[in-house]
Amino acid sequence: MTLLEAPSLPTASFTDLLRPGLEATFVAVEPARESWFALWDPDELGGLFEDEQPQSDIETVTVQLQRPRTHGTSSVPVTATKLSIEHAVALLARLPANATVATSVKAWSRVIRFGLDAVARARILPWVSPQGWDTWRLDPLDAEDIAMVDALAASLPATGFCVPSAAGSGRISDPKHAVRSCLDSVADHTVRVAAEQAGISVPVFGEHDRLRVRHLSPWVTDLAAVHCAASSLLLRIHPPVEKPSAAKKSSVESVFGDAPVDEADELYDGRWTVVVELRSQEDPSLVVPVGDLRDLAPEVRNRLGDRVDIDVLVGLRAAVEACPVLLPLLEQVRPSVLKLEEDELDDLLSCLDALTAAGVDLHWPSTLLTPTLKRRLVVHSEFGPQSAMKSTMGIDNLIDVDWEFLLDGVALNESELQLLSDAKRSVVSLRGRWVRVDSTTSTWLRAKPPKMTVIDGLAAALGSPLGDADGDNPAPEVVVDGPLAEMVTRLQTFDRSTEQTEPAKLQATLRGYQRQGLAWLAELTELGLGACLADDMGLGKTIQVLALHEHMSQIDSDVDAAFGPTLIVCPTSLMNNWEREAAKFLPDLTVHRFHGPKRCLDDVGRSDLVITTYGVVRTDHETLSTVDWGLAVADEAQHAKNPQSSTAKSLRKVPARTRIAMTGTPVENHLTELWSIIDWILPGLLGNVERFRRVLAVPIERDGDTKATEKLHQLVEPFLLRRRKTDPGIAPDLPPKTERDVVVPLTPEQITLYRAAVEEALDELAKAKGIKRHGRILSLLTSLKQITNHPAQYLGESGPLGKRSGKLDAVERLVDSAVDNAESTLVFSQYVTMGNMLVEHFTRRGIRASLLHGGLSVNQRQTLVDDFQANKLDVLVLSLKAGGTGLNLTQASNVIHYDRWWNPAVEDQATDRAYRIGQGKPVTVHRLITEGTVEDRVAELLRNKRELSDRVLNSGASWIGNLDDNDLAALVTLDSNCDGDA
Amino acid sequence: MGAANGVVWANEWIEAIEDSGSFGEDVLKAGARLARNQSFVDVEVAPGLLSGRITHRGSTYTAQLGVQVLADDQWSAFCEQLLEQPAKAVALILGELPDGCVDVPLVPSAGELYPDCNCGDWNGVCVHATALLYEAARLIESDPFVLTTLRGRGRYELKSAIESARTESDGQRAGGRVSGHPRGEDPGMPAAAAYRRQPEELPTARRLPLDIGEPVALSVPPPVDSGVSVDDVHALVVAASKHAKNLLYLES
Repeated sequence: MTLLEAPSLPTASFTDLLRPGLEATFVAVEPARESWFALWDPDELGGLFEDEQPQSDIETVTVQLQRPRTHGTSSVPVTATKLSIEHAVALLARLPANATVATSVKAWSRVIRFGLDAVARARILPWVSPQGWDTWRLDPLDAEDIAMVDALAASLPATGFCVPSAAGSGRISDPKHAVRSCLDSVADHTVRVAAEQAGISVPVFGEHDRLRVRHLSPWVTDLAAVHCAASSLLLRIHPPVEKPSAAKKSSVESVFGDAPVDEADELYDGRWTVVVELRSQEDPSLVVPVGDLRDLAPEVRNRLGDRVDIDVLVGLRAAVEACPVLLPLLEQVRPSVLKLEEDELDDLLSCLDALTAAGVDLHWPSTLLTPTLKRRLVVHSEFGPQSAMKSTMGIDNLIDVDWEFLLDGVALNESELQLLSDAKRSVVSLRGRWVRVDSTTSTWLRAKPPKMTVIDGLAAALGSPLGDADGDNPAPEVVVDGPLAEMVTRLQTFDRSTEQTEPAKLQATLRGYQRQGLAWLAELTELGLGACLADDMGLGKTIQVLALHEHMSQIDSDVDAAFGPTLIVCPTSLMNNWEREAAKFLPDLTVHRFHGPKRCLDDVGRSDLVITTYGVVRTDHETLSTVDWGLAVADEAQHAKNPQSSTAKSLRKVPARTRIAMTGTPVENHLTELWSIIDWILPGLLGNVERFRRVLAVPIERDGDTKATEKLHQLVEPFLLRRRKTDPGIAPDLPPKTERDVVVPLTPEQITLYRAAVEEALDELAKAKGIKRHGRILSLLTSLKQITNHPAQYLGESGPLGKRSGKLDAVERLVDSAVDNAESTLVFSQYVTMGNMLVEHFTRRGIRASLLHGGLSVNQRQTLVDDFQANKLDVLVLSLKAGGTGLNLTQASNVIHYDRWWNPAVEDQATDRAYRIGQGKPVTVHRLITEGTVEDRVAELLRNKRELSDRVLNSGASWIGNLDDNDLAALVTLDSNCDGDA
Repeated sequence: MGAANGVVWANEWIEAIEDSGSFGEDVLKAGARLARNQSFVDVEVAPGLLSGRITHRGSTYTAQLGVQVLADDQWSAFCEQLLEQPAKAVALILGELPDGCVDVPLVPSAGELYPDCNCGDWNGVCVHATALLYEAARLIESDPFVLTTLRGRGRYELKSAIESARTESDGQRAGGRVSGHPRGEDPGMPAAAAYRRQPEELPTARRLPLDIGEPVALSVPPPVDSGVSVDDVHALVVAASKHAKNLLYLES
């Protein structure tokens, strides 16, 4: 599918134009493509938006709308943004189903999407507007469409259509009329835009400018009369009647309605009968043979429209053109019934597609119990729980697949299949019934079963709607046999409350939910599949994975071939974290770091752990492929969320027996991301990404399709485990505050600045003594802190901000994750300049952030705190020095210390007391530390040396001023391994 | 469709003129040549009369062709014939002039034609009037209802006659649902009631089938002078359909 260029949007962003609370009212204009939407704020009648300057290419207008008053309603002027149909389609067609916008906006978004759907089905006709302009209308609509229009109209709140109506005072547009007008606008606009983009030049009906075409009114009226007929033609086919016993005769005759039954011979002449019938468009259950029209009651007859006879003739002509065999019908003055020989029936059946294209339906009567031929795939594989752990069978092995044909739910045997294959006619008598043998049947009978792997079979057994046996056709039913079926059952019935006790060597006691996690991971690993562990940050995904590694090493401890080494792939900033936790929880474990210029995999033992980064995988995936990995773990798997990126592609090339993805973001909110992760764990389970988007992602994200949501859930649920901090079994388990160090790398720019500052200072210090020395050291420290915060802070620049600081990158990631999880965050920095930069950076990225600083009055501070507590802010940036007492910030789930003072323990206590962190909900505190810098060293010192920490606690930073040159150099010189890959 | 059918009628018209012997061979040839080389302007088609202006050797002349209109009972007979053959009746409803209706000669004989011109040539029929005869053939070829108009009844008159005759004889009474989903005026709704009512839940979208297929072709072709053809409309519909489909599934 070639991707279009998105239609141009006004320069204001999506979030600006569709703030929560803004209402959208449709204003119909002639011709339809000039209609527009008024976007206005019901709480601010007459005023402009509070915080944004109107962008230059968005028009603001004053429009009269009918608004409620204390008694009744009245027409008032409202200042609104004018959204043309073009911009409305661009914005609203892609509105996610869960967007926080007013109901009127959501409802119109659905209307627009429905309009596009109908245009895609070519339900458009040229039309002439009442004033004589060329335009298009959305027609014809079938009964389902009309029901949808009614439902859409019923779901529109009054604000969506409150334009005063000329029909009378106190009246507004009729909602159904408004919906139809909007649909016409979508049709009119789409044709013009499509013509322009396709380079088609048709001045009348095909260009944006208005044209007067009153002389075409008779033609378009004719066109509408024919294409939107009140009733459509239906041809009902009756097979030849067998001579029945006398008792059955009357019931058979009643089937044929008014068809002339002169002689018994004529009835039983072995010919097929085609009866012409009419079906009402507005009520498809009303179907009447045309021969019976005169006998109908007037109210019934009227539901077939006011030109029934003409509709029959027009329909028949289309039918005859599609299928000449029907010509004799048009030779009857009052066409009603046609008799066909068997070969003529063949001709008729060969025209089925043409007839459908002409709008004529063909039916077999239900009274004769129409059989339907169905087929399904029967799938068998030896891959199952027993074979999974043996390395001979993998999930991409082919499996046995066969087609099975069913008539009325019972499988056809060999001789019956042979009868079908040999059939020369279009209909065959099988098991006492007539079965149609059309081109589909012949294709089916000849078709080879598709090639399916274990994973395809697994997906099918889990009810995947993505099965691709015939290209674009819906997936056939699949029946799974053998050990594979056993595996599916085991997957679907696994009890997630099962706990697996942690291996003896693990130096920790796992919490209940972590034991459950271990059991689940072990099950999927033993089944030879894969898993995605998506617990909230802070719940201990790392320890669960380490426990899994140890657990798997123990399983085969008495066999020569152990499970295999484990590869952990993570962002550079987390490598230290993994090493530290592995050292803490599995001290006997041999851990290798595959990173840096001298890396190699030579002495990796079968039960070892290897840690590497996404960057290294990108360059060295070939080397990594030489090891027979047991587990391959992708930490923060959203790093490979873009399936086209080289990171994702390289990651796929590293083979392992089981792949585990770890992520803290709610993947079910970002379906393309979910696809990427699942496709890495179990390649092929979700098919190709285009089809996934068409069949599942777009219906779920934009249309709110619950069936699709359910299908997706069924398919991925066995492989996804996500626990939240707020889950009932978990929250009490968690301590109120979890702290972690986030070690981040410096950017090349920062490294250069850092080194330069250190070099210069050390040079000067070699010559300086006394007070000057003390001062010089302190100013160096200040510079280093600023550099590690952000080069722009050090250099006194105001921007650009992105990608220049490791800390900023880490904060972006943490805050994005928090916002995704609907959590609030506090960010602490000592520097107001840094605070301002952070707030600006967040705001630009669409995150609601504010700065609480010393310059604010008490009231202003309280307002900010109130906003934060009311979840009107995602991030509150605080300057430590601005702290007062008694500010309640219990809504915070995340706290980030962007930079540190020198006595962290004291500062922590102060902040906790001041802001009551952790008293409302469990909080994760992240301390950003730049790797290899003075921050890192000090943090290490504080961790390991008690005496030093006491000194620091008591005297602030002055102790550093007293260090001699060597000690100082040791503290401030940048680590040499910081030149490694990102 | 109209065009293919028009050729037949145009040829009959020309045959009637050329085989009649009422016009000299030379003047016919000259008229045909003139009609080929020059264009008529301000052509008017009315019941019983065709007129137009043409420039010849530097001067502009107005030629006229009087045509004998058919009597009312002849037209009734014509319609009755059509009504007895549904295939032809529906052809007319859809904008074709069905051929093969015997008994009622639509094409006038030479004696029913009264050519005239203001060029002052008194020697029988002048070259300008003859040219108009061929121009008539050309018009009939692109729209055969030019013929019926000249003979007294235009396309829509005939269409209504056929339609109402069929509907009446069908026993249809007034009051049936009007076909064509007419867009009436907005009936409006009381604002107070609108604000009081509780909106229903938003409906889930219906899913577009993956394979849509080609749109249905227009069954009623546009008039000849509309500036748009069946193929034009079809191309627009196909383009719009593809565009809408892509827009629905575009990445955000």
